[in-house]
Amino acid sequence: MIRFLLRRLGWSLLVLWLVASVTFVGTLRVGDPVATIAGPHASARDRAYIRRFYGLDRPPAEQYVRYFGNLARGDLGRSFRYRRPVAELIAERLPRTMLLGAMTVTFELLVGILVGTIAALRRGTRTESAVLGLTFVGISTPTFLSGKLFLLVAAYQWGWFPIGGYGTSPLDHVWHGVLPAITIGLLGTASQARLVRSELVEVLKTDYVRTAHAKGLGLWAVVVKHALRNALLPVLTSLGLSFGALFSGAIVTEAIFAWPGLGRLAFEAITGMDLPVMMATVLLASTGILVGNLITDLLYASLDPRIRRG
Amino acid sequence: MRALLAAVALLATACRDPYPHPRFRGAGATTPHRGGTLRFAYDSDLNTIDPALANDTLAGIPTRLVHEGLINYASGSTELVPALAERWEVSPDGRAYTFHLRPNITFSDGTPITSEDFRYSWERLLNPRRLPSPGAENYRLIVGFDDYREGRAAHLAGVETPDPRTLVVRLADADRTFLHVMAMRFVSVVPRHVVEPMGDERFGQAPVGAGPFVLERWEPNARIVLRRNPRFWNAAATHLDRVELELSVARHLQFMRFLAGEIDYAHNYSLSTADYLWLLGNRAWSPYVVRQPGALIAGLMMNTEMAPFDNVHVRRAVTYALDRDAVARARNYRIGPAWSLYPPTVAGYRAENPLRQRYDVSVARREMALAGHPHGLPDEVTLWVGEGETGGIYGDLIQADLARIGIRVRQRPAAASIYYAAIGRRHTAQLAIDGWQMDYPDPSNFIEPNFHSRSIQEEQSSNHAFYRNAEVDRMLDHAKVEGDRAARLALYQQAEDQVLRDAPWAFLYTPLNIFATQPWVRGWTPHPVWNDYFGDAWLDLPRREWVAARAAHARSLGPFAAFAAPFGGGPR
Repeated sequence: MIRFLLRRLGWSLLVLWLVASVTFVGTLRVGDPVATIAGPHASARDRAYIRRFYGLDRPPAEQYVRYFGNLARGDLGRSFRYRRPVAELIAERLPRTMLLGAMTVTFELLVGILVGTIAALRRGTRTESAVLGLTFVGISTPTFLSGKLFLLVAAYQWGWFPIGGYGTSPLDHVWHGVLPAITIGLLGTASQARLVRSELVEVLKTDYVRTAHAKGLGLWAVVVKHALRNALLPVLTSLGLSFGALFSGAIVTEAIFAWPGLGRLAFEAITGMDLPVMMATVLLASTGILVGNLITDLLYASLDPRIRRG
Repeated sequence: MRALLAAVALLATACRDPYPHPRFRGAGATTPHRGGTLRFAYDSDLNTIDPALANDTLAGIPTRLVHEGLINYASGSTELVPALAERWEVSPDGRAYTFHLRPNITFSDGTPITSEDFRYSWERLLNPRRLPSPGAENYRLIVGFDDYREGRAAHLAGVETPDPRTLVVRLADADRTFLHVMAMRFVSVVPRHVVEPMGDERFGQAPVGAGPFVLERWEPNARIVLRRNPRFWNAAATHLDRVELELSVARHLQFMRFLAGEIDYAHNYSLSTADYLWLLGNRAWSPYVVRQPGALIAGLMMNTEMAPFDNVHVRRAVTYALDRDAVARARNYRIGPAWSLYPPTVAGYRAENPLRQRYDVSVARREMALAGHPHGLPDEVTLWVGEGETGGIYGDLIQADLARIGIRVRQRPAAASIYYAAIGRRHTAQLAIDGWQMDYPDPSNFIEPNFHSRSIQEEQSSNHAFYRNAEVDRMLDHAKVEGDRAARLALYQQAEDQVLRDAPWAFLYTPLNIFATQPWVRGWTPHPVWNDYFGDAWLDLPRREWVAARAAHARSLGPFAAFAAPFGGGPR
């Protein structure tokens, strides 16, 4: 188990380094950050001073070595735009995105499993068709559309939810996060529901479920204690693998709902050519995806003894 | 079936407009009084409130409210008025400026401000090893500028402080625009005793200044709250208790919140064209829409060093070929047509000038014949346009207009950074849709960067047309030192006439900035220099529910009204 973990970690670091290098080389080619920092009216001399101030006048190879040297020491550098350590900027915003992420995952699991289970138990009825139809809509609706629709209807027209923003107190943050979480989670919920339904339908046909029924166990005990436990393995896999989608969903959704998280930071770093922040958000997203995969593997092992032993 | 009906009913309520009226109105007060929080929002994030660094539109707003300099512009005007300096003198040769500070002025923390504080602030601004300021070069005429910038001198030789209330600034050359440069935010005063212990980086996040407001709270990327500064030199003129600026709020959200009465002010950037047309067409809202010509001139730049635009007749033909009214119409009149260089809000603008460019296709064809191309140009020309919808609108109209005089145009859309690099590089862009947003309201700021030969560089040239005319250069150099205001303006107008004759640009439009306020926001007019300046606005509080609007809102909720009530919120 330990060796498995170490090997996985080693590969993860290699992947991270590759991603970071490709991003770094890419940023050298996309344009001039000094133009964005200085604005269109700055004089050539002011630009030259700014270039020197940020070390952008050094050869790319030197910049590369310096960046990765600092990175190895845990220093993500300083933002050009904010003139502050990138780590600070991320520390301010990460908890907000994590709150949104946690709410999204909760929503995905609760609603996805519930709806999927109902559909599986009501096989061949109109309920099942309705679930399949609705989840199809959920999977096919892009976030930028569903987000704006929720906002327009549920927040603006009906006034049930705040019109975007982040709120001022912890409870208020959660309240402001409901619509964005539903928006990001819509796709995940729909695919989880479909997955749970199809897995459960298979599991319900198995001998051990029939045995459980025959023992005289109630429907609840059979489904929750026996069937769902096995049907949930693929759900966990897809959840772990959806970390990337969660982050890219956050970029769009945070913009729609003015949620001041990492997605907004990444978006503004890209439009504003803030290279250190750009690099850091890419690294963070890749780390998130890798960690998600790792956790999936570990959970898998703990849920299914055959994997643990094998 | 019942479920279907319910769904349809639900959808029907979603299609009605919940706010056909402003949701609240003012109490009906007629004289300004203190109190209240003014709220508005921006769609990007704030990076700094350091006057030496604040450079974009958003950062400029709180920076202007928190900091103060020697000179300012009068409310709603481009006239220079005393701020922390109560008066100033200019020496007859125009090279020495003596500023006299007001008595008993302090920073918001109560520390007195002396002439030494200004010298400290400016040396901080101009030290490139300390701050990467994009505005330092504006002060290049101060004696000793280069020596100080390059680290050869410990102090800026041209700034003297004979006593705590007197500042003398010496210039290497006379420059009559220097007072405007001294009114820019960059040279606001900052307190040494605050900056030094916390460092420059922290200061941008926790600024202390001498402006009408003080930073009270900054929630990163979410909001900043500014509180009235009771120690401001002109505190009696500030009415608002607080200004709350929400950050990174997308445009569509800002407009929804504005209609819902949650924010007090919708600025030019929060109103899409559809929103603006809706407001204008709505009789309850239209009285609260304000329009103001922007301090920007946009035009079709023609590179005078590249064929075929090295031929003055081709350039003139282009100026006659463009239908500016059609351009304004295509943008739903969010812009006004422009026929000459200076925008209407800037001194030197002439509504009547026989040399103004005009739209006349027959003259355009004649000019093409004079250029030796009676049947049009043999080769296609490339037009650089900004990426996005508006760039495309201008590009298409210009393409169609020029096709009529036999110039075939290929559009080259580019992202901003690539676009600016290209049009500033020599022999690169033949044609581009260009624009100049002023730094300060003086004709020199429009004509010098764009049309003086000194503004030509191999890279990052601000003279994008690479236009040079010795006569124009001479007039501009003369105007710069001319002490008589009327004579100065006349020189700038003559130089403009020569530019119009040589036609390096076909002037296209000046934008019309559009704002909407809630009924209870009073005493605010758009400032021609400062964006979203609320120094003298007041709120007609307590605001009251607009009963008809509330009823309409309740109806639009239909069966959900009762359910929605706990969340809807009442007047604050």
